[in-house]
Amino acid sequence: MKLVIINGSPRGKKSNSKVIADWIISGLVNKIEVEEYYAIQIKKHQEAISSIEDGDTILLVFPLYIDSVPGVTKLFIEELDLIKDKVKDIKIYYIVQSGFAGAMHSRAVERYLIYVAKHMGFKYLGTAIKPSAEGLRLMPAILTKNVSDNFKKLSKDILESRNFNQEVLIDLAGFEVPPLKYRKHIEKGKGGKTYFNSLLRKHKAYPKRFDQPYVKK
Amino acid sequence: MNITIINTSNKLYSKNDFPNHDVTLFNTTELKIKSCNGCFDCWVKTPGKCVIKDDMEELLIAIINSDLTVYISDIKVGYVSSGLKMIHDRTLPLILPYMDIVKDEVHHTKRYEKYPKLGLVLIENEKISDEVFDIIENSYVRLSYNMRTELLFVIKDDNMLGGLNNEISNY
Repeated sequence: MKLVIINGSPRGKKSNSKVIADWIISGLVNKIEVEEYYAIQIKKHQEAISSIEDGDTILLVFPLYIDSVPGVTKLFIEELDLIKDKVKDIKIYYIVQSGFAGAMHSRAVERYLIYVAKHMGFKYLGTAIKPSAEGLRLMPAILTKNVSDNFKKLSKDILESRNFNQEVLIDLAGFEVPPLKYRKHIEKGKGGKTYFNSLLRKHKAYPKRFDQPYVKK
Repeated sequence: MNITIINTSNKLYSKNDFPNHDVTLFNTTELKIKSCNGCFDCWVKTPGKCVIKDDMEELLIAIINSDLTVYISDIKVGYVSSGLKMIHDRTLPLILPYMDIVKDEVHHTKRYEKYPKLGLVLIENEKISDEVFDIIENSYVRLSYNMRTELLFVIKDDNMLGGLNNEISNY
């Protein structure tokens, strides 16, 4: 048996999903064979799908796009359908990471992921939800230690083919909807401004930040 | 009233399928629309504009200038098609990178004053169970929050779009 990691991010190897997948892999400490594929490499979908054999475990990790799976991840799921009923004893885990604060954003797609596992006849072993993840790939290790330690704990569950640990899932997910104090902070216009304004200035696009290029006047 | 219909299903429609309404219609299987690559350039380099050069720009213009945008999709593995999801992903230029509070949740700030209401038509190419319908409907309520609008209807329609014509008439 092996672990097949499907990275569903449109950013491929430069994604926050890749950062998380690497934490999972390091937590596996070479105790299981791992194959990694990227949904953005559409030509390799068939290779990824035919690599899945009886008894394997799948980990699908992706960023939340408009509160759902990214289009390329959905395409992979559609192609995965080709091996429905053709492989046995497959286990599946999911990791959903999103830029938003609040796990609520990812609950709708979690329901769909459970449906996919059931539809495919795979054993569903859990979905880890990690909000506020846009900065993971940019942050120094010291600031992400708590998060990376949590994902490495989930690696142990993967090795044992058991459900993701509930306490770890709750810690990763944090609050479902932002607390009042956080909402007031955002309402004062402070949400994401520093980060995005610095990027806008860097690209000399700050004066055009509110442009409405597609509206017919 | 401006109505944009974005048909992503394998069946092609023409304006004649909507005899009593003036609609802007796209059959996206005849268009070239690439996947979003998550670059955020539409937020930080070319504000409001997608840097991928393909037919999506035409759709974005039709969407943002409509009062109602209706998406038509086949069902694939219990959800709308990847073709439609790729289009939704590419609508990111229509909102700002900044954050706002909507329904007590964090969502992106509006770039435009007005956004079209949403409708979704599911072509019943495979049986749509109550569970699947509910998952999709819930997902589109979420999409409507993100795109700063409201979901007007989700209907199953395999009958020459009679249901959609009714919905448009009622609207």
